[in-house]
Amino acid sequence: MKISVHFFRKLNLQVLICYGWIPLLIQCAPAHLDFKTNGTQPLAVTGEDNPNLDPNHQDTNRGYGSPHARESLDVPFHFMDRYSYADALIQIFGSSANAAATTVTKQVATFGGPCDPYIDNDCPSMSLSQAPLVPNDTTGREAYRIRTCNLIAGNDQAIQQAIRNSNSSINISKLPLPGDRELKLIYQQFYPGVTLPEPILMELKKVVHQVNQNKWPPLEAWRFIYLTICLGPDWQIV
Amino acid sequence: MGVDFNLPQTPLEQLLAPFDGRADIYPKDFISRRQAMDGVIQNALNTLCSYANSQRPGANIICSTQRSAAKLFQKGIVGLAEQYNQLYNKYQSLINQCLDPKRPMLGVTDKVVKRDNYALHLRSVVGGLNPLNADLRTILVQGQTSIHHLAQGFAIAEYMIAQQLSSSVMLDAGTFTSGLNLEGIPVSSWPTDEHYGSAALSLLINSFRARALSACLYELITVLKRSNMFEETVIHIGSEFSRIPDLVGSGSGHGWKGNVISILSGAISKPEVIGNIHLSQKINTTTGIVEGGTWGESAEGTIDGAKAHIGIGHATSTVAQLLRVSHPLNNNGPLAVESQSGKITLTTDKAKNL
Repeated sequence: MKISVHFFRKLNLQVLICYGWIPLLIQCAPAHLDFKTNGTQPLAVTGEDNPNLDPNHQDTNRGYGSPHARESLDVPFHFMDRYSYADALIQIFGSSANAAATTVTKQVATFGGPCDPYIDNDCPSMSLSQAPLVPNDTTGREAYRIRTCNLIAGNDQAIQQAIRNSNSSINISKLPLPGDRELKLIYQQFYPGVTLPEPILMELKKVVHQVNQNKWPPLEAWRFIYLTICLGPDWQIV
Repeated sequence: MGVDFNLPQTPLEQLLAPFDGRADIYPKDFISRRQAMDGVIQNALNTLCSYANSQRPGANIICSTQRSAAKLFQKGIVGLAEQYNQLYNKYQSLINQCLDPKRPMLGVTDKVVKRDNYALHLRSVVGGLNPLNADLRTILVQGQTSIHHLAQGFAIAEYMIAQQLSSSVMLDAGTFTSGLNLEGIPVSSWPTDEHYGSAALSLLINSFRARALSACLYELITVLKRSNMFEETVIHIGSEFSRIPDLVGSGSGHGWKGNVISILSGAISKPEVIGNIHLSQKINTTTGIVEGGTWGESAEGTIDGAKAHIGIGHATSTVAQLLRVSHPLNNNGPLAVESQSGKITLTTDKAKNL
């Protein structure tokens, strides 16, 4: 027997409906955090508020199947799993981002990518061997993304390595403020092959301008540009 | 994220761990500079979100989700262990009182419940084992018998909902009952899946479990009422199927043709029972199993003017309707609808026995 407690009648907005392993147990999950107990007892908590703050928005993000394996049939986006997300961070920021990347790879259920019970220490809990292959975006995942981006942005070595990776000819010891070309190169580290759209370029230049106005060292401008794009929503979509 | 009851952290600490960044170490100046840059970074993020949404419609959900996560950071999540333990102790105390065999339950515990000849079906034991308790009531032991994870689940539910950290919680209503005195059987947990566990034992244990569940629900609802939240809350209790009693009382099978769900909400003005059931008894001559009777097999009724059997689809749509979200099953409409004034009215007749 399962009990679902929902408190969001008053929001009066469309939210996604996903089915638990028992069809009767619908979970309405806006910005949901999914969690379960270590045994067979599924337990899910959804996020604090409804992500569909735009009343015109139609959320089609539905999860199906067991809460133990919430792989989705019609999820509009395929988010990177824990390994690909961590790899992307290390590719951009180098080995100085290892600690932050490890934070991600430890979050099996949140970032997806089932653990392998036959590998030592890979599975903190056996049920996580059934974690979703294709994860949903949840408040828990976004919380870890915020923390990871902040941790990396606060790491001088990681930022300097990312700058080198974006442009091998740049002199780190005489770092200039990032200009249009540099901003485009940074953007392409997160969005390979995509040209930096003009409206985003304008906003990133404002970040650089603000740092300059604050009379902070140029590294700070690079730092907060990297932080901003790291927090961006869609580079984590495969 | 997984909640592991074996870990030293409380379930609340585990659940809210993503939002607890107190252990994250940042260099000097980073936090203050990050805060000073927050406005301009947020503007840039909004533009990134708009562009992402224009390229991939729906991507703005990610940004909303991220904002929700940021809000949880701002709430400041501290003292969870203490708060969790208080709530856990409250619910566990209720459960202990409800599982006390000395607290009478009319029709269940007011007479000696003699053991029968139906062995408990232990998965590891071929043929099962028979408890030796002369009076099955002695199986429950005051202060020892408990229900796995029920108090934990309610503690989490109360905290997450009442603190408005979450809008939806799903919990298990206690799969196993532990601390049982099963004489002659080397386990202390309810070991059967009720197929062969004897009807008497099922009735006894499930009655106590239902009493404990009811007490926990009553307490949760009381808290929600106190916070003026019950009007906007829907509690849905259900399982995948009901049980059909076997012919000789040895246990019960899967009652696919019947299902009982309960929906509790402050929006519902008075108790209603809906859904027709069959009264006629049919015995399968091949298996000897009672397939009808009064166990709750669904009978046809009228839903929105049309003849239909109430099914899981209707239940799903009803919960969705009460939550004011679109229901995904167009062929199975809701059994109750909300009027403009907020009044909940039924779309089906009240229950009849046919």
